[in-house]
Amino acid sequence: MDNTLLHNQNVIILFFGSISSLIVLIIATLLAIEIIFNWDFNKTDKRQHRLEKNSWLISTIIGFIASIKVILLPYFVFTIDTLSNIVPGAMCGAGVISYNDYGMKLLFIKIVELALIAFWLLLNRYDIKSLYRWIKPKMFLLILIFAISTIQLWFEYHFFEAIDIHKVVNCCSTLYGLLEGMNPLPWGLDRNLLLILFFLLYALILSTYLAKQEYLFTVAVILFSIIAYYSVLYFFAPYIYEQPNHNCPFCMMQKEYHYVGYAVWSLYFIGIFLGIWSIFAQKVLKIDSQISKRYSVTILGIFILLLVGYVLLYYYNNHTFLQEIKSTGMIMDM
Amino acid sequence: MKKPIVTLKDVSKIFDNGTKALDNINLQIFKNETIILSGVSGSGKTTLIGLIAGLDRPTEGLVEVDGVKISKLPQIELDSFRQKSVGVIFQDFGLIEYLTVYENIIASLIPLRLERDIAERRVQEAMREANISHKANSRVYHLSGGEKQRCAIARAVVNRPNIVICDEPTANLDLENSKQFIKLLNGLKSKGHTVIIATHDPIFERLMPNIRKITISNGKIENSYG
Amino acid sequence: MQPNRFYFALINLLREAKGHIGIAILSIILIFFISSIILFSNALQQTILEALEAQPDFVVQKIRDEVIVPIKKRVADEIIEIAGTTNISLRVWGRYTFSNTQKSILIVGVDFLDEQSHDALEKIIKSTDLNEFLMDRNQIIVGEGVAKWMKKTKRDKTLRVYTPKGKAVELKLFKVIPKSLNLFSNDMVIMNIKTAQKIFGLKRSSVTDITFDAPNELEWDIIPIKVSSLDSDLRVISKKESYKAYQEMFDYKGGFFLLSFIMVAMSFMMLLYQKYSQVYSSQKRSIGILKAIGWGVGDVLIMKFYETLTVVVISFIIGFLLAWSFVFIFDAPIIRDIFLGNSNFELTDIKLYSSIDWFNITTIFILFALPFFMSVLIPVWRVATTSPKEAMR
Repeated sequence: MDNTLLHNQNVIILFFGSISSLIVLIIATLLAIEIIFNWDFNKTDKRQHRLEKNSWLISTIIGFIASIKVILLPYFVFTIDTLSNIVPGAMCGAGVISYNDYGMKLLFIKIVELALIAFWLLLNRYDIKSLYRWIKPKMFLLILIFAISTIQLWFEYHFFEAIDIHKVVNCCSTLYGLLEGMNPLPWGLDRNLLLILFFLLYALILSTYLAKQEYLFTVAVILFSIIAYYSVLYFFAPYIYEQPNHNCPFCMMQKEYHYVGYAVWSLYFIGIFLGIWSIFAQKVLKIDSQISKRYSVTILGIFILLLVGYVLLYYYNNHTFLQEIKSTGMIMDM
Repeated sequence: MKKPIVTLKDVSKIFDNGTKALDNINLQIFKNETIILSGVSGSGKTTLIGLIAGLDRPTEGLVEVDGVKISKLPQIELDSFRQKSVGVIFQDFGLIEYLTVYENIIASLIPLRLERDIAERRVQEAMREANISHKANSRVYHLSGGEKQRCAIARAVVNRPNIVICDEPTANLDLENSKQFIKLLNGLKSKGHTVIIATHDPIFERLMPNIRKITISNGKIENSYG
Repeated sequence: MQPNRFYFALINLLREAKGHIGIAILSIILIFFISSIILFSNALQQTILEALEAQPDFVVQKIRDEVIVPIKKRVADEIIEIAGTTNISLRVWGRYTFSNTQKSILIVGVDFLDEQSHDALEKIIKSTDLNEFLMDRNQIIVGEGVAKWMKKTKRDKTLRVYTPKGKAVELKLFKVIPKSLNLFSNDMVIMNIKTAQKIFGLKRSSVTDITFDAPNELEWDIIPIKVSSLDSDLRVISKKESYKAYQEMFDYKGGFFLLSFIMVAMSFMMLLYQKYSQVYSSQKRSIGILKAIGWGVGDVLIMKFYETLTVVVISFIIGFLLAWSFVFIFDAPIIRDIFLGNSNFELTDIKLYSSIDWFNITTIFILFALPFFMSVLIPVWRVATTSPKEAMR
């Protein structure tokens, strides 16, 4: 029996999904190339009508792929998490995904891919409403999605193929722990400053939304996306785990923590995505995007409430806040 | 000079098999007019109606209906044109047999995404107008020819189109039902709809006042008077 | 219900059901098939792993020329000396084959007065009246499978075995092991260690293996090394290793099954594609009418999506529930024979752990819904782009 994971049930399902969607994506890409070369909106001949029909097939296919990927992304994370039972040393998905260089990149590609597909679908809606003004950029974007999907499959193969279930890997506390006095936070921030920035930036998002300040809103969303990531890891995660130095982004997706990680990270990504989308819609598509901004602000608000809820819950139960433990010896025992 | 609601300019239609169904048609129809397109079957009446209703596009020429140049429109625009501007009564009524009268009628409001109350009110109103309210929950295949016809009228007017188009509306009706149908059409006319009827049934000329008759033969307009 | 696109999708399904019923039935059969196998194999895996949990943490055997040879009892005393080991017990563990029927039993000889590191054995011993049992050295406790087989033979309550020297030993049935412990005990015959030594021709000072526990998991890697250092011929098998071996085996088998199912799914897709192309082309006229009264391509696409989703979800629920009751209520009659039936004692009475695992359900759903939607993509698009001219035909 070989040691790779390529015969694991869930891994096969992941490949099944990736390969199937790539197959239909090939059809869509071929149709898209034809549209890029031959589309002429002013013509009403048979070819133009066929291209119009084909553009509907393309959006049907992308809709199909979107629904597969929406299911498969959490499925992937969950699979990684289950594999931590088999891969020695790994306590959660973090250990498995850091097994080789492909893991983190693969997860990143998967998120980017899904974001681009969602972006494509939104663009498609406005394109149809605006009588195909964006048809060619849309088709180029489709080719980009195709390229990313292909790379994704390649990475997925190499990631799972290379995992040897007999080799010991690191667990999350060595990957995300505060090591030897090293400060993992960006720009030399400490936890308190990080937290203040976190809330300030959200306040900025909220006020720029209300004041309709597009550029500031953009800056605020992008800064928030970075600060929020670190705040979750180094401030809120310990409250979710009720352990002062547990900073893993994966463990919270386990059953012990009621799978809350899925909610945390979905809210985070959807909120940021909608924020960036609404700027794009406003500036490039020239459409009023207050509604998608409102969704973005609301979703990020729920994201914050969820995290703050954990802090308050901890305080309610223990009548104190968590104290950071600076000694390095703790990490090894966790 | 009145503004035309339908304009056809040098319109030709050649089918895939090479048949020339319409040949260089020029035609203007004005608001609140009632038009009879007459001609033997195969003369191109139905094709012409299809072009005006936005169901098909001409091979050549310009079709402008309700201020929209529909011969130039892409498919999606043509869809929303049909949602708003025209109501069609087909020769065999064009109803979906397994749906009820109510469902057939409300189906044409679905793409408009109206609010529930408004949609409901409009359907009730259309059914009352077409005198079919009592059959609202009957499936179409239980209806008689006359009832089907009235259901088709209700559906054609429920989205409040400016133009109502009928294709051989009395072909499947007896005399009594035909008379009732014409009474309904007169009612539509008085409400401001432009009515276009493709028929070779002389009953319309007898029972409808102020109509213009256009005769088509071999894909060409033979005469136009009225 | 307010008529919307979903409403029309439902009506289409209900009133034009004949087009979908064949597909739904086929889907239900398919889902039933995959779900029962996945549910059964996972429950079996769960059951085996749970049963494994009751095994001693370590088993020590002596190996010479790749053959298990008797191990001296005094090795146990040396293992006790190693820090962190508890529940050290001796046992005689081996298969005995009846030459006339080719049936084999698993003979387990233990010292009933020792602490047992085997939790399942410990349970059996605790529920036994030892005073009465130990009165006769030849009394045995047997698994369900052995008990059934004994009933069929002429001598109802006894079992005759022979020592290597040809001397007959008459074993007497004392009690049957309760069902819940069945997976590993089905063909087990538990007896006094001395009787077992006699049957296998072992000296009084030798046993087949020594078992022990190590309560601190952190020491699990170091203890085997310490034990092997006592004698290079000693082999230490840890529970963790067998656990992983089982897991890998199930993974491997499950993966193989899945790949063969994907082959089946391909032909299912061809069939769906054809069937739906046919069904939808018969709906061309009614779709043409909808288009003529203002429905756009998107409206029809969404309606058809709801239609397909309804068929998929309903057949999935029915198929899955049928499979679930087949496996956990009716005990999966045929599959059980395929998976467990062997020439020896049939493991037909195992109690399977029934659990609802959402991850499993998602797996089955993806496995079914993905090919389903994929094969209707093009037929659905084709019908959605039907020309409104169809209404005039």
